[in-house]
Amino acid sequence: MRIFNTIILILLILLFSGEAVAGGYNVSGVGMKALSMGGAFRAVADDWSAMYYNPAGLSNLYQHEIAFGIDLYSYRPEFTPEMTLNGYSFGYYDGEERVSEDKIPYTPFVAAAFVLPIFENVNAGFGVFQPYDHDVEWDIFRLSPVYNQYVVDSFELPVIEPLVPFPDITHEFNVDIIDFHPTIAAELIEDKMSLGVGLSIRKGSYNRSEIILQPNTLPESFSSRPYENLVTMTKYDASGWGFGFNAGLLYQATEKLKVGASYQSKTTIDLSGDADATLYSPGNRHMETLADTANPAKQLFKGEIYTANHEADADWVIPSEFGFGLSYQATERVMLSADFVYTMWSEYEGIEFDVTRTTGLTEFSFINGYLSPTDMPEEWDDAFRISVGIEGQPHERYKLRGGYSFEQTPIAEEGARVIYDNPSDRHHLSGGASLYVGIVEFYGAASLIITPETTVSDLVDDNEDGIFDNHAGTYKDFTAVTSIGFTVRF
Amino acid sequence: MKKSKILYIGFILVALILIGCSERENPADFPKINEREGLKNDGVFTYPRAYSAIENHAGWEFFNFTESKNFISKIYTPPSFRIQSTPYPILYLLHDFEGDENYYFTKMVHRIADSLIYEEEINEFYIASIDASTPYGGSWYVNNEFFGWFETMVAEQWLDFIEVTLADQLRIIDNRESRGIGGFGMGGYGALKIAAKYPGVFSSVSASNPAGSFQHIEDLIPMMLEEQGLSTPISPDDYQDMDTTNLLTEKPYTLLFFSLAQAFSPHPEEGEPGYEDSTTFVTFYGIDLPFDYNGNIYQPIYDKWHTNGLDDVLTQNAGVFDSIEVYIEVSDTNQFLFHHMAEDVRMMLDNNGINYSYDSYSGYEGYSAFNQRFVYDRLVEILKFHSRYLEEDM
Repeated sequence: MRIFNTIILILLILLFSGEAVAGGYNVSGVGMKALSMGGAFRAVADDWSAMYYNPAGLSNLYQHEIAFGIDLYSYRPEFTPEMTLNGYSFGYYDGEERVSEDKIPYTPFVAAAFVLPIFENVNAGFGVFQPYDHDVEWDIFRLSPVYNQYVVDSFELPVIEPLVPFPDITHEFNVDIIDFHPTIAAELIEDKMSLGVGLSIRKGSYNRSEIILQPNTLPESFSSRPYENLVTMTKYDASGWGFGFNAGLLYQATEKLKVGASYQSKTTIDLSGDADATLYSPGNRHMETLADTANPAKQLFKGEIYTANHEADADWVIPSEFGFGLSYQATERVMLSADFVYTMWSEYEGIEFDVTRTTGLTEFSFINGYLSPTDMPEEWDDAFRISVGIEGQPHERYKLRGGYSFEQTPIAEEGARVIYDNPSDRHHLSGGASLYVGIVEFYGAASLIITPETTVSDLVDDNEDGIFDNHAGTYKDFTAVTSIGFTVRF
Repeated sequence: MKKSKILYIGFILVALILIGCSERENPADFPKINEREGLKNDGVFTYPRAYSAIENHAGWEFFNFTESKNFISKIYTPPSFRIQSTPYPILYLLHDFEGDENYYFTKMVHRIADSLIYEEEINEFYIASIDASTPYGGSWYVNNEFFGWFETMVAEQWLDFIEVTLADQLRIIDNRESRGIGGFGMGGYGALKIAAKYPGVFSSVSASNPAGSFQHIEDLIPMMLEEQGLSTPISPDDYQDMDTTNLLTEKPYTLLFFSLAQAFSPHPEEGEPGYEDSTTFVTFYGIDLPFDYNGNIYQPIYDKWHTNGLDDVLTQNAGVFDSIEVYIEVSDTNQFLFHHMAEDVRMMLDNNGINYSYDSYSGYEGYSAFNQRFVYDRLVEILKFHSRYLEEDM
């Protein structure tokens, strides 16, 4: 009864507590059991999700398993831009709290693990799950009425010309990586040590669009505020495949203590797709009139939209990861676990698209100068995550679980952008339960990811290209993850 | 496990999902405050007009501008202009060197005014601008035999046109307390000068970087020579053969010197004092420059410029400012050293016991307040200042 009340309390905390956020663009974890134990699963690894955490754990399965479930991410970040320099603004909603578009990304999974009858002490499995997912859309920038004016150039009764149409979504980031994961594990020393390896066959899709302010290189007369920057948008839509592997070791140190270690290799996804660049040219008929025919300003200030479409390729590096875990069977019905994971985010250095074919360029070289895909530099840091979990079985028909983890952010303030998460360390709080009905175990789990409100105070341009490398402002997040699913064992 | 407990947990899980599904909204975007009931435009009207003070002057004939000698005036009408019958105050804004009647509208003064009125930061008033440019970049609002009587045009004919000729179209409160004048750079110089010389006309005057002193012009001579590709001593042929192509975009210092010279030192006509002096006479353009072939100040011409500074006019008319609110703002840098000239103007105001309010501004890292870069931002403060003193219809 006390444990039940504890679970209820955790869920209530999840329901009503404050700010939270999802991690990097990796998901909180894979598998409802592991998720509800805070991800402290490398030395537990006793269900299909061992394929992700520690493939050696697959050797602990004594029945075939088929699992299906879905994780629902309620990712509700807020951002108050302060994109100003010395008090001067550039078109962002400075000082105004903005919310991302409401959406519930979901990551379904299906997995099967089989005890191979032809080899003694060898189990194999195949899982399909999603270790990386992020889906967020923002409207944090507006094309100021000052940037585009009504045209007033005729006598007595000027005519309105429409403003440049501008997208409602100014920043979007939607990435998915689906991991098709065949795994095999063998018990090397009976009841003592097992080893497992898995192949990560990863299908990645990468969609990103961002408003990027680029310096106006025209002479002073045509580039004074509010036209010192020109508004462009770069949009990537690409997908591809990549291959990697993971491996793990599980060791029964004592009767009650298990030790697990795992490694996930770096995966490079070979992206191929489109990289479109759009210039929203300012509408200012006076500037247009002022410029002589040969002056690029003549074309620039027409208030038109120019878009070039590029076919492009890029390498998308998904970082490698080392993990180490402990589990301890405290009592017959209570198990404790702990994990440490180190992710080599420094291997990820942003995505540089190589343009292979371009269409849509104009006859104006100045305009074309703004129609190439543009990026901000990205430099992430390696980050660790430590987790602790508990599993109790108050009754033979159900189990209750809880967990906590602390996760370093790989993103420094200099690289903070709304398309990513709050650049702050995160606390994951999770809980869940499962119920046995015959050969089926039903799961329910929830987790909350708590991130302190973070203020990025400085706009940065490290490479001095005149383009802001980050988004200054106050980041707040709320993410609740709800998972449901079942596993059939036979 | 009791069913009720399972349901309990299930309920909370569903509640979590529902909370995740609840709708959030961003605040509303810009209101359509620029729309005008009954108007197809955004409240800005354009009026071309040939002013007699400028017509039939040799300079315009010389530049073959006789057929387009219309000095356009633009007038911003406040949002309630078409839906109310009340008269409004008016602010006359004089443009800077290199500008024309579009100067402030290019910087979106009408949009800025609409926004400030919507946010109740300022009261409603008209904003008028006029083209006081010349082929050399700016008239400096002086009366000049060669190019025309710009001071007269602005201070008399333009105001008369706006407030009398257009009386059936505009409703302007006809008293001093409801009339202001202001300007940037050259316009600040013109605003202070006209406010001083035409007492009883304006109740407030603003001047941003008013270029009201020409002491620092000596420091700009090397820049002009550099953009002309000249080194000292300059040969007489090179001195006469200044390159005046693409002045606006490529040779701003040449444009400044030529504009000041056509305003303050057009070469005297035959029979006038100084006619015989050809030391710094640029024959083709009919102007005398204030520096000699060695790049040194040529005192007789420089003195002409100096006497056109604001020192004398402020000293002689200091009492006028007893009933005029004055606002001066100065940037921390300026391409043409107008910020130094503006500090000189402040000293003149101080020396003459003229009260004024003051502000300073700077740019941001990598983008200094070099030239006209921050007019768009400063207009907010300018409009707020005038709004405080422009008397509304009682």
